[in-house]
Amino acid sequence: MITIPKNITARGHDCVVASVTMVCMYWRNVKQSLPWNLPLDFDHEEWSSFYEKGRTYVRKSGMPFNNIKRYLKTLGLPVNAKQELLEDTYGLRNLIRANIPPIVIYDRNYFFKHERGIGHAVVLVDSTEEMFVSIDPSFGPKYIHKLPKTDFEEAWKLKGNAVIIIYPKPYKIRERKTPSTTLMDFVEKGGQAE
Amino acid sequence: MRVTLRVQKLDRPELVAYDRILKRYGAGCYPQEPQERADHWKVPIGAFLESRVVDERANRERILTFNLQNVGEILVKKSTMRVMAATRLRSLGRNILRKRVEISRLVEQDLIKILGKREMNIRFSELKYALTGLQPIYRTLNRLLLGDYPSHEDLMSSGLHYAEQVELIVDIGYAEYTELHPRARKLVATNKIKDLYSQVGDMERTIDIVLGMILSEFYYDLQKGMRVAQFVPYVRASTGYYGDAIQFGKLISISEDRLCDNVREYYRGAPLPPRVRYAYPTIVRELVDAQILEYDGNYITGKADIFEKLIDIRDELPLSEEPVSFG
Repeated sequence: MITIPKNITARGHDCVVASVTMVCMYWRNVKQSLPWNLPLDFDHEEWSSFYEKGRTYVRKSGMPFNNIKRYLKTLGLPVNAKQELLEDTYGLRNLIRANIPPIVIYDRNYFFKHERGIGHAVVLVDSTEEMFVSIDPSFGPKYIHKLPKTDFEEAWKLKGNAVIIIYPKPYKIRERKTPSTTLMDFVEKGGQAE
Repeated sequence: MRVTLRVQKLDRPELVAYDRILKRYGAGCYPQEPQERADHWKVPIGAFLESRVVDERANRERILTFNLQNVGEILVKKSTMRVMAATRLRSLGRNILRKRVEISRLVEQDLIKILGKREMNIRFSELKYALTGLQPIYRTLNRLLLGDYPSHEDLMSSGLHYAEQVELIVDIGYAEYTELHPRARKLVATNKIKDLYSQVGDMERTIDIVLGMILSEFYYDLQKGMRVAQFVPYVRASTGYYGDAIQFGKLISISEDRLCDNVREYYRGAPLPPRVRYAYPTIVRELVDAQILEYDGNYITGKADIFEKLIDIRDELPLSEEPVSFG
């Protein structure tokens, strides 16, 4: 299980900023040798201003991913950010196993009530056979929220299986783009996949 | 260390649009059903807008989301599966605000209609600042009830603007012009207003009822056509309260500061009303005197009879409640 050093309470569109801040705190704690310009004390006001600055990037329509990138870049942190629409939960499991906490966006309204709703960002910290364990910024002071995989997969799919990966600059995240080949294409190419 | 991710192929227009949405707009938006065009797909964008309603006395917060449709669009080229054109973030934000204003307008329209109903017993004459703009109507009603019928010439000599307002009393059938020569034409009370006066038995109350009818019928004409807007701050303050109460689903108690914030939020982007020469405490006190709002200790609450008539509009709002309400 990935341990997030400090949990942050947030509501509405601020959930993305809170999740990004928590993941940055995690990397600050884990990768101390990198050139960080933020203190290791997570109660320090520099972290509060980090969070507040992030909130200024939130728009009425949510927090655009391009804004997250811009926000991290202006702060000069030694981390990269990437947005992906994954194929399945296999990628999430891989990230958690590699101790990279993914920020997933899922339809929480659908998860609870089977009604379409706003995208909600949480940080996944663990994966078991049956569920994912998330740190949900809107569930303070408890924060930990267990997401049964079957329900989560449906709610996550409604948001395009979207994931935000924040990782230290020395890391490399490799993508394997598995092409979807139709049976016709497969036969035309003489039984060889692309 | 190697991490392998299996990434979705962007082979569907909604997926291409969604990728763009997440990158440029945020997770509050979503792609609607793609529409087929000649060489491209048009993917309209919907947005979920969060709304927080607080009952300050009970210290309860309820979070609701508005589902706003068609706030933007993304065009995806069929041959390349790439984005050809898309609404800019600024325009999208503006469209979201515009849709939100439309929803506030729904509540406002219903509220005005309800306030104009006779059984609501609203005392419009207590809204002092509003009355300054409606003096032509107020004075003419007074004269009609006293039997002092003004001539058409007399009204016209007070100005076209004056006569225009008086016409509204004629439009709702509470006064009429005698069919004589234009010079000798007089404005007289109809049986309708006489009956009303005999039923109510009080001149002030009769004027209040007729004023309510005129406002509920011609609020937007008065505001936009005749530029009589002194009533607007009162309507906005009332909408600011009842709009929240409707979303909450019951009468709530809020502070004056919260009411002020609500009005600002509800009417963000709307043209400013004329400047009221006094602050919110006075507006609220006058609204309480007029029996539109009520005091609940240090808080402000609404009237149950107004709320009961308004609550049906909740079903018309594109609203859904978040599964988690924060207490």
